[in-house]
Amino acid sequence: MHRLRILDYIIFLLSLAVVTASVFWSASSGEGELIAEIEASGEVYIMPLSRDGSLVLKGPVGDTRVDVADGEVFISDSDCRDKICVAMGPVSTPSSWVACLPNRVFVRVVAGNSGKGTEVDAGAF
Amino acid sequence: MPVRSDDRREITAFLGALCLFLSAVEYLIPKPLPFLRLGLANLPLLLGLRFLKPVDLILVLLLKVIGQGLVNGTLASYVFLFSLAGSVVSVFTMSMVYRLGGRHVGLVGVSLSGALASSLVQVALAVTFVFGETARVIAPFSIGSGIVTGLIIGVFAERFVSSSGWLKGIERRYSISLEDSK
Amino acid sequence: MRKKQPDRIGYYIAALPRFAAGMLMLPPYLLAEGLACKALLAAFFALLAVLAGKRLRWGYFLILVLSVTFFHLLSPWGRVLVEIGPFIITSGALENGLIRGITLVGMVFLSVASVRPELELPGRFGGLLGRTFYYFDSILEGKRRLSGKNFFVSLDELLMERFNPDQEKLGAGESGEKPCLETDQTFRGWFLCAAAILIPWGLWILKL
Repeated sequence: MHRLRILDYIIFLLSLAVVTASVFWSASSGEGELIAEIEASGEVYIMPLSRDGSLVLKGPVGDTRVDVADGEVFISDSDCRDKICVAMGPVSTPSSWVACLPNRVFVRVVAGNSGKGTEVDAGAF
Repeated sequence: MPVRSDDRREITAFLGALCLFLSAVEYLIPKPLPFLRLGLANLPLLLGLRFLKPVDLILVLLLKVIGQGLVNGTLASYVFLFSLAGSVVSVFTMSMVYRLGGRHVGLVGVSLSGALASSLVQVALAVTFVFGETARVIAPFSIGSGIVTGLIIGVFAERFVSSSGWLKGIERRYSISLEDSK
Repeated sequence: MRKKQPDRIGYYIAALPRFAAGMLMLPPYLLAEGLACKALLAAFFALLAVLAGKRLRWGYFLILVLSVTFFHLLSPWGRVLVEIGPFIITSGALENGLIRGITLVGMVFLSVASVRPELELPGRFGGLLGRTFYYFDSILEGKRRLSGKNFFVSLDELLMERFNPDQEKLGAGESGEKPCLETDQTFRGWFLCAAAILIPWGLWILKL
C-alpha cells in the first residue's frame, strides 16, 4: 500500500470543506421568500413572487386574473364593473394587498414559511 | 516482426471494455440505496491517466459513456447526458490535479478530486433539470457519498497499480507503440 | 443477467431504423404539455420497452417520480389542496412535479426500447466501439474467474488471460464484428415503425 502524499490530505480537507459549504447552501433555500396568498370562493391559492405566472380565479361576478411578474403581484383583469382592483396596480411588500371586492378575490403578500431574514418593510404601512 | 501499429488502438478499446465490464460487476453488488453508485467503471480512467495520451484518455471516456448508454439502453435519454457531463468534468479535473500535483499527489487524491467535481456537476444538473431548487437538501448527501466512493476507488487504484503485472505490461506495450509511431 | 425476455420488436425492425424511430417520437413527447398526454405516452413507451424484452425496475422509476413530485411540492404554486402542518400540497406544484417526473421516466423507457447494443455508430469511432464490445464479450466470458475475496489478484489473472500484453499481436484474431443478431427490416417492420411514430405526433397535434 502506497503512503498517502501531501496533496491527498489537502484534497481530502478541501472536499470536507465543500461538503460543509453544501450543508449551508442547502439550508439557505427558500429563506425569507415572499409569496402572494390569494383567497377566492373559499379556496386558497399560493403564488411565490419569485416565479412569474398567472392564475384565473372564479368568483360570483366572473373571472379575475392574477399575475406575478418581476417580483410583483397584480390583478391584470377582472369581470367587475369598476376595475378598481386593476387600477390598484402591483404590490410586492409583506402585508400589502390588492383585492377585487365585487368578485371576492383577495390577494395578500406574506413572508414565506421560514419568515427568517425578512424584515417587515416599514414602507408598507 | 510483431505488428505494433494497432497496439494503441487495441489498448484504448480494451480499457473501454474494462469500464463496461466493471460497471456490469458493480450492477451485481447490492446497494443500500438505488441512487448510490460506487463508480468502479471509473477505475480504468484513473489507471489510464497515468500513461495514456490525452486523446486516448478521451476516447476511453467516450467508449465508457457511449458503451454504457448502448448496453443499458439509456443512450437516447437524459441519463446519458448527465453521465457524459459528470465523466467529462471528472476526467478533466483528475488530469489537471495529476499534472499539476506531480509527485505530491497520489491516486487517492486524484480520484477524490474527480469524484468531487463530478458530484458537484451532478447536483447542479439534478437541481436544475430534475428536482428543482428545493432539492438543494440532497447536495450534502450526494457530495458526501461522492467523496466516499472517490476515496474507495482511489484506494483500489493504488492497490491495483502496485500489484498488477498486467497493468505494467500494458503500460510498457503502450509506450513502445508510441515510440514506434514516431 | 437474469432470465432474458425475447426482444419482440427486434423480430421486425433493425437496430438503425429502430433508433431513428425512437428519436422521431421524442420531440412530440417533450413538447406535449398536458399531464394526461404525457402519462399516456410514457405508458406507451413503457409498453414498447416491455415488448423489447427489457426488465424495467419499476420500483426505481416509481421512487424517481415520487421524489421529483415531492421536491416540486416543497415550492407551492396554485390552489391549496391539502395542508399537512407546514407541508402544503398545491395543485400547480403537484401537476408540474408529476409532469416533470413522468417526462423523465418516459424518456428512459423510450430510450431503452429504441437503443440496441447492435446499433452501429459510423466512422472510426464506431469501429473502435466495435472492438470495445468485442473485448467486453471476451472479458464477460471469463468472469467466473473473478472472486470477491481476492478481487485484485483474480482480476489481474482474468485480464492477463483475455488481453496478454506480451503476446505477438495484441487482441489477436477476431475482426471485432459484433455477433450478428441483426434481423432484416421487414415490410411489416416499416409499417410498425410508422404506426408507432404516428401515436405521439397524433396525440400532440390533437391536444394542441
